[in-house]
Amino acid sequence: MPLLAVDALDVAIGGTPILRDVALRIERGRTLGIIGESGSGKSMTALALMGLLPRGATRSGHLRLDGRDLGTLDEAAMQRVRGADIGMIFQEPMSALNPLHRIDDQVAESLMLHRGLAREPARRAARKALERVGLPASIVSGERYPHQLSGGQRQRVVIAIAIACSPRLLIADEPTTALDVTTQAGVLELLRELQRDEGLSLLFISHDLAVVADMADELVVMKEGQVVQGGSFGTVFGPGSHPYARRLYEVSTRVPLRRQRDIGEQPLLQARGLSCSYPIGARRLFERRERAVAVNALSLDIRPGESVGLVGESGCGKSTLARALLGLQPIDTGSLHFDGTDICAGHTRATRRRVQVVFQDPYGSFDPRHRVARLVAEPLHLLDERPPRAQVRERVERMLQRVGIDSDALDRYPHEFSGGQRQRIAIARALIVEPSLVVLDEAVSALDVSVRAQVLDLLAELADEQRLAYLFISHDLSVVKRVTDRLHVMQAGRIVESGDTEAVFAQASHPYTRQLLAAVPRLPAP
Amino acid sequence: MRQRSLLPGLVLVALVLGAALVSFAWTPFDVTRLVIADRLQAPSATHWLGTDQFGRDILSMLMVGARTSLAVALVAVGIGVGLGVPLGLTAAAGRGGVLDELIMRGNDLVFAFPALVIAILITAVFGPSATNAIIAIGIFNVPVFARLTRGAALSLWTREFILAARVAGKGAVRISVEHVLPNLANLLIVQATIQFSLGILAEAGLSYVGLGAQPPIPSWGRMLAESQTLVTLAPHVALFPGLAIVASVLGLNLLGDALRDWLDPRLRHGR
Repeated sequence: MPLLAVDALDVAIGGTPILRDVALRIERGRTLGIIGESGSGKSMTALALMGLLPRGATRSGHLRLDGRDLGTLDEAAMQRVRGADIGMIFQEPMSALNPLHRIDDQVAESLMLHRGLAREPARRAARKALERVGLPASIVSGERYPHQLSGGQRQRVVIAIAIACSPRLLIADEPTTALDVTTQAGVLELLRELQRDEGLSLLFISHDLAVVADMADELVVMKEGQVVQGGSFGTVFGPGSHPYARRLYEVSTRVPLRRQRDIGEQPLLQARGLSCSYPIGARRLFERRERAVAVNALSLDIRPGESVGLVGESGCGKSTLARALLGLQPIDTGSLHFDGTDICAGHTRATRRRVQVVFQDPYGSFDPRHRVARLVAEPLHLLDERPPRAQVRERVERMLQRVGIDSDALDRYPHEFSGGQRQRIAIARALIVEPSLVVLDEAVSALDVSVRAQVLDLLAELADEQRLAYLFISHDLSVVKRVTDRLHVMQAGRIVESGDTEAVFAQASHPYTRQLLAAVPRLPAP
Repeated sequence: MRQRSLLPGLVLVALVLGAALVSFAWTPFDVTRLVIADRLQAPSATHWLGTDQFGRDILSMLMVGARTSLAVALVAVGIGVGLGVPLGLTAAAGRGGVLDELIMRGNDLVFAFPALVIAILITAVFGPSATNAIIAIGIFNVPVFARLTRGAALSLWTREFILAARVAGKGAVRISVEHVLPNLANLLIVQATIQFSLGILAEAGLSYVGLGAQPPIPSWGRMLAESQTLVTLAPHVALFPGLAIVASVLGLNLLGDALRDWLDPRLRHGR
């Protein structure tokens, strides 16, 4: 008998069907992976299992955990199941942890609830659980608070809470999506260990095919609330696979076609010995605050038409560097030249016109109160002479069409568009003044795989058309591999390795680069 | 979503506003006419809310008094917004610079003084009048709006769309006006509604001690003061002005609450 058997699961919210006829099986000690894009219903399935659906949701179908029907349980009984029989970990560890409680107390809470332990014995058991997930008291004191830990450490705490009462099933909903690649590798290894040692069954939900392929014994692909296909990796992605599954595979490995670009000789952007820092600690009345160095004597060249990648993990300083190059961050020492002009003290109007940016967050990069036409036209402020209104509108329209957005978007608000559409609008905004260099700061990180592929294709086309240089900043090596000519690897404010992208991937010389490359989950051929 | 506090709030505010506006055209009786013979009459068909110790119709006095309360509170809030919001925007645009420190310490300084006492001081020194009451109340609205604006603006400055505007070459002033201010509008509207209700209370307090609008201009607070000794004799003379104050303050607070709830989810509509 499978540990978990789900049949004919239907969920509707306010009359709208969210899940239709979902069926799954998880065997003891095995991992089932659910793959899908945003809106596919994968998280909803997990919530349905836990009985954590939002108010106004109706659920029907059979949910059997070890033969026991979860559908018939009332809230009180379900509470006994949660944590004790089924554990769950979420994507954002900072939101999942209470910022006001110590980590050992948060782990102990589960033990006190389900095992009836008193405070001190629960704390002791909690410390053991924390040690089990790789956070022994000698390294991370149980008295610490969540904000004092790194992202990976917090996720381990969340895992400790989930496994504290030794549940039989662990549901992991995008557990490593918000983590760096090396941290991700560590957390995934931990999950595998727990499965081996405790016989834990795992329901692993993700949009990242490579990660799921790595972790799961069996897979289920979901689309728009329905299960499209299930089975082993070979069954789902091999010959005879469903067209949607095949498409997902294709876009995850796709390399945009790039024509042979002619790259200029003279560097467009030249940074030498660049250093940036920011003040930390409390404000003092008379002394200067200590400064944390984010960019440490860094040197970098970008030539016209070249696509340069900058990879590094959280905290390495790549965003600070991007801001310094855009003139948004004061530079402490070093030199920065754009096409011969010294921009150390900040950009001039003329240089600003030639360097534009696309940010990561498609939701936050637009003023929610402005319409698309006004948003895309904003950089036109940099032109010496502002063209007449009608011309501006026409120019915006043309630019939007070029990026694949209908002209009826002009009078709409950004919140009316999807993430992928907003990134296209952001690209339109960046290109409307015909820059020479576009800084893409994690521009595709927040997008689904298929949308990501489309946006990367668009960027490649535009680069060919307009001889654009890109500085492609990302923590995702697999993306960088596909779209850049040259690559810099950044660690703790310094560039530790540079070279042609293919060469670096084939034969990395610096140990950190090798560590990064080893941690990238690989998507095998079906 | 229908807010439960919206309807009562609107009704109360509309009542008070309506009374004030109508009073410009018509009041049941002339508020400057003293008819001692008709004094201290209970509410009746002729005098709907009765008369005070000088024979003046209380309803008419309340209507004209509404003008005073609303006008004083409105202009005082206007001063608060007009001076406080630009100060707050400037402080936030400075992002921790000297200007920010200066403005915030100035704020702290004003906050350190007890509002009502200073208001009394001002009106006592410069002479009691509605204008001086406006200035006195207005001064204390400035730091409220400055602090609110600065706090909200500071968090907006870190958002990516502000960075995008900076990359487009726009300066701090332009960004403050084009991007920051519109995104603060909702917050400011709600606060203004609350400050408005506080302004009415403050005006009532000042005129209670005789430092607001002077006779013969009616004022709710003064009506309360004058009726103090008559409470046992003719309670309605004190009751109605008191109710008027309560109604306006309550109505505005309910309206502010409903506004806040109504405006907030709309902001999140984007997600």
